[in-house]
Amino acid sequence: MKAVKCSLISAGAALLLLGLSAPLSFAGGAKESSSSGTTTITYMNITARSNVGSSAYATGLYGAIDDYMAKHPNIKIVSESLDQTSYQTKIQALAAANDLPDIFDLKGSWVSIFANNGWAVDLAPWVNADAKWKNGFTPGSFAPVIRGDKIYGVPSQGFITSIVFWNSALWQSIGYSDFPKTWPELLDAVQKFRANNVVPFVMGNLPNWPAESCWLSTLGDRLTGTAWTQSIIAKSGAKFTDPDFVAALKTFQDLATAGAFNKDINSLDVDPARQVYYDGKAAAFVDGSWSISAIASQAPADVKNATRVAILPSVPGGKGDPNTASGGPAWFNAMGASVKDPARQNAVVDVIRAITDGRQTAITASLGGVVAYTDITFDSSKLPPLMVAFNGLMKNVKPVPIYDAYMDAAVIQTMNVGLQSLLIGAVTPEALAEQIQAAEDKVSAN
Amino acid sequence: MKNRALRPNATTILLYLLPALLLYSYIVTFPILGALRLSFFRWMGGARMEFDGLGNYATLLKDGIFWQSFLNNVTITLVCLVGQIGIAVVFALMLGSRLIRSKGFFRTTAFFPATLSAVVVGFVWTFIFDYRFGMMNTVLRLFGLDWLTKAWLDDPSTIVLFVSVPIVWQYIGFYMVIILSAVSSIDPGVLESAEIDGATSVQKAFRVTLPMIMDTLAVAVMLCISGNMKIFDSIYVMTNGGPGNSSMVVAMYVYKTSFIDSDYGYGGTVSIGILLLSLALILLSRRLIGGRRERGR
Repeated sequence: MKAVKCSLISAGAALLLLGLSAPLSFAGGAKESSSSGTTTITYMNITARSNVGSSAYATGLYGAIDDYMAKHPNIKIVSESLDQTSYQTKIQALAAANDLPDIFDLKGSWVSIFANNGWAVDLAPWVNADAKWKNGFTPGSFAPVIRGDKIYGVPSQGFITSIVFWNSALWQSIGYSDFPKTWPELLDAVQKFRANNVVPFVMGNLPNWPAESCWLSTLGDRLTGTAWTQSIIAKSGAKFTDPDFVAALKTFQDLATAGAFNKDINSLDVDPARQVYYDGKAAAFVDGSWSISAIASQAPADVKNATRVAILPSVPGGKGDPNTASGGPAWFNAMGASVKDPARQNAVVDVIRAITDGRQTAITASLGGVVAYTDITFDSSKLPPLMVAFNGLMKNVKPVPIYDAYMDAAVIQTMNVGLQSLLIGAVTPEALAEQIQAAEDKVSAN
Repeated sequence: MKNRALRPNATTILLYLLPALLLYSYIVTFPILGALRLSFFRWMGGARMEFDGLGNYATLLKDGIFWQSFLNNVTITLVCLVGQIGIAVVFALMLGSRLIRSKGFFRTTAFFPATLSAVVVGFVWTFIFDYRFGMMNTVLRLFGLDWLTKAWLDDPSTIVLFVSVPIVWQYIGFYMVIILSAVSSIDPGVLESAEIDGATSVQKAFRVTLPMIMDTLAVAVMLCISGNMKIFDSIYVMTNGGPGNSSMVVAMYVYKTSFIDSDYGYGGTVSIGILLLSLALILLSRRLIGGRRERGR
């Protein structure tokens, strides 16, 4: 009797263990499945298919994917999209669990971690072998993903992350027919808007990257100059505690203290912030070039027609060139390290090529998207007027590094969180500079 | 040990327990041991993993964000002890009284929020607190109290209180049900004899009911502490720990250290830190409440 009981118990335990391990083995096995000669390629990204039509990049991207699948019936591309914040969580967890998809969006600031840990496949053999593809990108596009002679990603789209979108009708009402060219003028305008109960600049900094990516990357450059940023990136001497960077933080904080931003700056999200501008309750907002197609498709006609583009004004005493805006590719298509079979690697690179070369970019550019791949001809007749204005503006503007496309994730995290506090006066520029430098020191030590 | 003959031997007991023990070890014990092991290493997730002894723990002791997060956890726990258990006791006593009709309705309504996902609750309250369209400010404006309106989730000095509100709201019903069951298990005879002795409702509540449900209250307090030490989701949705780190809680700090900064070693250290601190708090609460009860007897 006892023997029966024991064997029943052990059978139960075995079943239990089987039950625990079964889902794991199933998940592992399903990924590599290639039933009836069809290869499934998984692709995780931050561009939802539901944005086809309203977002130029999404339209170009999914157009290219559908086109590719139609021409290659044996390849099935399964894409999964998340918003940026959730995506960041999920992809890092998948990476740590060694369960990355075949293709995924890699942010510039994650490259060191992914490269050091061997999570992403070096794409240099393929990129270097295809000169037409490689040289089609704007010069410097690959810079954030190059480590030594290795290339960890292919630029997905070009960005300018710091464009001032301003409502000319509202600025006219306080006597500005053009956007301020200098910082004192900007502060003066802020006072006048405050007196009229209009929010000068609306910012949705809940996800905490906008203040850094859209404002500080450019404002910092105005004060420190690009050489300082390059030195930080190369870890060759510059420090966040340098007086110029502290001055940039102080300029930013003073602007906030003057009342330039909305009261709910840290609890408002990016899209609702744009809505405040659409409602005519804010005179301007500073955001990336991705907002151009959003304004063209979402803003009410009067706001859309009154919207102009500009760059942040020059700051007195700043060491940087005032004709710059942070820009360049910040996101890259990378291959997960779990793809090991050479034939499969070739297939994956072929898909990456299809979603980054002229096929995708021509559609994106014709709809008003900013692209990193410029070896294209496209129909510019349907461009939104704002895009034409933007292209005109960019003729004289030089892109400078977007902080979160180059600097390490832990440093950016400290900076982003700290900027939330800085803008509501909860931390001094000096103290924040020290915190960021401490994070940098910790990363360098590892 | 009167029934020694009926008691199975130790091996059999162990075998009976084995399936549950295995499952528990797999999802609880091993991950904790894993975190403990990680906490002694400097590890950013890849092949390089350096043993660092107690280095991470030395950092933890001096880590301002960790201690601020822990203080936030403690504040939220205190608010919840008063808000959740306090209100739950009042509701339970009210539902226990003969004056209230349709008790079933009130019980279900009060319990309903506990069935919602914390993410949903977080979103709902984000809308309520919204500066522009939120219910809070709309109602204040409706009553002409415009000067009271504010960006509720933007002030670092009060943010911890406001992120506690949804947590309190969500779990009142949960504790109410626990306390109700304790109240209903009190022998009616005791209350009736108190009534015959001329006790008022308030006296009955404080002198009879509360002392008799002290055991249950102790369990509720422990649940409340352990629950709030691991609080994460609703705050993540509402403020993401912001503005700055002002509404950061330890679980979120672990998550951000591990998965945003990719500092898995230190992430492990922080989780072991909060494990020890919560254990200490729970032991302390047992001493405080348990001690008083024993003296009372």
